[in-house]
Amino acid sequence: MEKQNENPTVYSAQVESRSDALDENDCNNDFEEIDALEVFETLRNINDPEHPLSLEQLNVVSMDNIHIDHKRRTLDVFFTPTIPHCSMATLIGLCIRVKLLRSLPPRFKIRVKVTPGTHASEDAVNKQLNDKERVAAALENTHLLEVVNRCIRKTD
Amino acid sequence: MPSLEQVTILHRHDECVWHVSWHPTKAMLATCGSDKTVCVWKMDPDDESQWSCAAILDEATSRTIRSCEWSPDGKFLAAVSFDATVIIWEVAGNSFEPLATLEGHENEVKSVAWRPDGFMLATCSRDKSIWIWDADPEEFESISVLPSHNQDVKFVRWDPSGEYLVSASYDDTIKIWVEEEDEEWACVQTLNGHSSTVWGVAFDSSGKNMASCSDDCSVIIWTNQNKGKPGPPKWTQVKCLPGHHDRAILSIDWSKDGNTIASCGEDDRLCLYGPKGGDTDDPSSIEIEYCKENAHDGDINCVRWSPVLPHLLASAGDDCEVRIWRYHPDKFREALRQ
Repeated sequence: MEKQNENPTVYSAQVESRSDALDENDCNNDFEEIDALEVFETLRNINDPEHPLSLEQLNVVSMDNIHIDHKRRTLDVFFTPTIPHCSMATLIGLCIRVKLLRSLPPRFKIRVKVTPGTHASEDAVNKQLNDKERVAAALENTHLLEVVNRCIRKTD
Repeated sequence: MPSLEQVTILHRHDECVWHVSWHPTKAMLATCGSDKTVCVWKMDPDDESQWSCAAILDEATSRTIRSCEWSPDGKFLAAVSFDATVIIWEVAGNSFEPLATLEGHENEVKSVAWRPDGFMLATCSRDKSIWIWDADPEEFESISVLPSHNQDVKFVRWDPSGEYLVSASYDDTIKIWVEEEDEEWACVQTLNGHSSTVWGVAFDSSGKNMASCSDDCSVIIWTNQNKGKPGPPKWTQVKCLPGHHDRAILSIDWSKDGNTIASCGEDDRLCLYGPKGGDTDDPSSIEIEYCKENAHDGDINCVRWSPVLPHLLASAGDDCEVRIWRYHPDKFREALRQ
């Protein structure tokens, strides 16, 4: 299959690894203890659907695009598609969302959005990714779920 | 001061509960969700805090049951699934006999509504269409397909007279439909007012006023200026109530006594609204009365008033729970309304 972005820029690791990445057994973690680095650790090794590269290497996710509000129990994650017409943007966002849903304590309120100004269909992608009914239905689609699971399998 | 008292918690579902429907005449509920089941609940007639699970319908579909509704006479139960089907059970006492599976939608069915006379059923789907079905128990049959919205249709409801069908969509609009001659359906009005997905609509008992709720975190009150007059309806926005929810508002319902609107959503909050000074004829006087934070331990997907037990309401949440509430309105306001 022809790739949309043949030669993406590859970035070096942004931060030193810390051993306390959230894993899927960690759902009972106290919300207060979770910080942006921990969320980043959770997401950095998600694989790009097109390239054998991680979202960290492609700079799709970064530390400064993770915002936690402990008081309101919200987590907003912005991700940056490598090109503004990337048709994979919704899939990448879904992978991030699924990984967060499986890793975070259940009462966390999650929003996953495109970094403003980095995608041609930013509003449409954001709307779809944050429609809980569509996300729930997508995750019952066996084929799609396989693709998502493949992208996030190296994150644990 | 008004207050909201939690009467009890019903726990049987293993996953998110998406919808709750009150039986039209009895103290019973049907609930459904991601665990692919419908649960039927019965209240102890002597004690509203005592409920038991009367039936679990778990063999109808292999995907989420998004919504379920009792027929107006309580003899049937309809459920819609992400597997694109509509399932009808016939109710006989405590037993529920599968009667029909209606196929036609291309993908996830989101909502189902019986016309108040029970003769028709409307369903809507991500396939952007609304289907109208003849609810003849001998042969549930598709009557009409309305290629209705530009996007996902989230919700359908009939007005209390059964004259209008209303649909709410991911395309941010609400549409009003009437049946014309020869089983042809026409969209007589499109309401623009919300700036994101409209998740639900509800009517007061007169059918003159309607409330809608949206992903834009606001509730809008609409009035049909042409109610009771010949010609098409003329719905206009009379009030917008922003600021009481800070995430998507997923569900709204108007109590049958006409006094109180309830809304809920992704901020785990239940909000109640009523007319200031108790003047139910003036929808522009509707304002927030009470807000319950953390009414569930997670998103609240649906809220519905009991049609027979005044001030009782049920909510369904991502915490796998159904909760029963009793609303105690402000006494002064309540007295004015009677």
